[in-house]
Amino acid sequence: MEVVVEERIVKDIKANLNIAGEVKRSRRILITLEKEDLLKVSEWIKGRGFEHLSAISVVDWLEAGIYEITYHVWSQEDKILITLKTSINRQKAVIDSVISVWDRSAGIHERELHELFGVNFEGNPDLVPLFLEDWEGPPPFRKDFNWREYTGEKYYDQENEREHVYYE
Amino acid sequence: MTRKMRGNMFTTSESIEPAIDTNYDLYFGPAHPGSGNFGVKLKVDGEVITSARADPGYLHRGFEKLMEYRIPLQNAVLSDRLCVLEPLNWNLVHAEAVDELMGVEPPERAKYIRVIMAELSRIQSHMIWYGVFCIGTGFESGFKIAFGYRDYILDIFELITGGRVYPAGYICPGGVRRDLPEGAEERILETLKKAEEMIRFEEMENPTLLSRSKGVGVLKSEDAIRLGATGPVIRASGIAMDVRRDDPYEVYDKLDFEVPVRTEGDAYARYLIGIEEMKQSVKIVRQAIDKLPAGEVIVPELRKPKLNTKIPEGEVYVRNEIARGEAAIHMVSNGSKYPYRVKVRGPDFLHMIPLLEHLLEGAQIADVPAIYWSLNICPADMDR
Amino acid sequence: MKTLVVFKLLKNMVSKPMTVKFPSESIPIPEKYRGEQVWDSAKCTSCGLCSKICPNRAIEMVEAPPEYKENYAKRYPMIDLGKCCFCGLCQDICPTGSLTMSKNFFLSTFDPSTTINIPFPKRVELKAE
Ligand code: SF4
Ligand code: SF4
Repeated sequence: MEVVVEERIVKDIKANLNIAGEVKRSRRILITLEKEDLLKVSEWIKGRGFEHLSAISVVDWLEAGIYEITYHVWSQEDKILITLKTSINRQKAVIDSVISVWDRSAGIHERELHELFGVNFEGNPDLVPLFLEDWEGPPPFRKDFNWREYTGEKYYDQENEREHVYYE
Repeated sequence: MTRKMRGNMFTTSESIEPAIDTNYDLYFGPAHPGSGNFGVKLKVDGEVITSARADPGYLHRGFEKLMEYRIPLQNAVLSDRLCVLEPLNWNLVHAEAVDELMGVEPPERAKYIRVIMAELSRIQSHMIWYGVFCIGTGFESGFKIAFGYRDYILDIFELITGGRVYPAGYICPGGVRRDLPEGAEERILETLKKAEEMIRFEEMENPTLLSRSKGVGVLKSEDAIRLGATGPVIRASGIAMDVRRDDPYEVYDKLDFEVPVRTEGDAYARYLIGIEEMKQSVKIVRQAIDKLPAGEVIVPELRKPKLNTKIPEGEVYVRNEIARGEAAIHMVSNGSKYPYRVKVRGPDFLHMIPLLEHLLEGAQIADVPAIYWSLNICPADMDR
Repeated sequence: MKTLVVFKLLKNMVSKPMTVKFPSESIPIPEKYRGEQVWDSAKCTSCGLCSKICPNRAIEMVEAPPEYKENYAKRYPMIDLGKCCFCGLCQDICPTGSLTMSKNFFLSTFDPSTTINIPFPKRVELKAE
């Protein structure tokens, strides 16, 4: 598998931003960075042609006490997908918004993740709830959210014996 | 109406101060026949929409969380439900993510079968797109004919997967769940003829559609990339982005097909792209059946379902081109038998919220259905 | 283009419709259709795999009532079709081929209690007691 372009981009990033990247396989690059560098790197790679933000994802690592945030960005010119990976403290879940870089396509992903994980994206003006209506519990996709208890309290119909198998 | 008359009416209505406030809120959906389980709150001034706000969540089932409590095989069944209109394509995305995590290489025959099924699914999904676009613009025969022809493809799905709409994880980790039954290739080729009949019908000039969609909902190419458009929507705005060609998976790099592009960016252009894509899909299925090799359809160690297969530690991001655009799954495993985190990226999440809001701003109320349905949307994979 | 439309119209007048007249004719159901499960008591080894793989927990392993204990000594799968999504995983995993899926899809009912398939005979009488 040819990874010439991939290696050139990794070298470019190293030279310009002093951040190490890693070629995972053809057309896939992984860059692990500190959260302070996020905006700097995002702007640089956007200028380099990585214009299509495919997705933002959060992984909740409960034991390590961190949220791992990944940004998957595609470049139509080079046909390469860069994954930016950064982590933030679970207790202080705040990170800069990339809405200034990728505009509304980033904004909507951040809005979703704010609702589902409670991560605060600083600089995003529109973080109102998206899917959940009348939600009282903690952000539901967190690993420490006990959904069995929550749904048991809120939705379990004890009269209906066919539901027992799910709760007992 | 002559020009003079119109002029007269205009002056009279302008000279009289409107007695009522022309600003009001209008709800499009969620119970509107034809918006699906999804609503848009429109702020309207007279006939013109001043701002639109999407109101999703009526179909939120929490798939990403559900998948954290199921083994990959059960998740394959679950991944059907990610989109009602193209379950096989979502099966494929999920299966590829697990394959890559487990380091499994499906047999060659399985890859071809996967492509055949995915493309057939794309054709039937485009037929629905055409159907609902027709009904949105007031051309009901188109709707009925599209759904009639779609059923021929559902017959094929029933024959191969055992279910008409939901294949129940037919494309599963490691390959496909069962081989094509006898005579399936001929049946598929026959059905392709029916699909071509449908394409010919769509290509017939249709004054209703043309007048309702030409120049409506224009999406400029710089807006398209800014708002995260993918698939047919971005291709109608002049950017040739297609995951099948740019980031090939399965056997797409061995097949010959074109990526249709148009530059107008309006609803009519999107409709034409849909027709062109159906033609390309027919071409792909023909080639794949031609080249279909013999052999196994699933890797031997996964042939019998197992309850305790561990997923090796790792992280993958798999992208596919489904009928609506770019679908992706970000799957993380910590070495247990369940995936640790699954993130589903559906094309409609971007199409239905930022993009639709952008297109509706400044549009006429009467154009809302045409714009809405020209985006080929389905609330299921937006809400997940 | 106009002539093509007219031609198509005329052709449609004589061609067969896409639908079939249902009770008298029907489209053939393929062999591998995933319909209601059939369970063969003679082949079942009570391994319980079917109940473990079921994504909807539609299968529960139940013991026979005392009067059937002789013939049904172990625990057997009771399928609640109201929860079943007809995925066919139970059929695939069953090691002895005791659980298979039939072509029967006429399953709609007004009474939810009738969707439960109890693996022992004479379930109606059992209920009445
Ligand atoms: S078909 Fe699927 S859902 Fe139904 S009982 Fe079998 S495993 Fe469960
Ligand atoms: S998997 Fe088959 S043999 Fe095992 S309990 Fe179920 S029906 Fe019986």
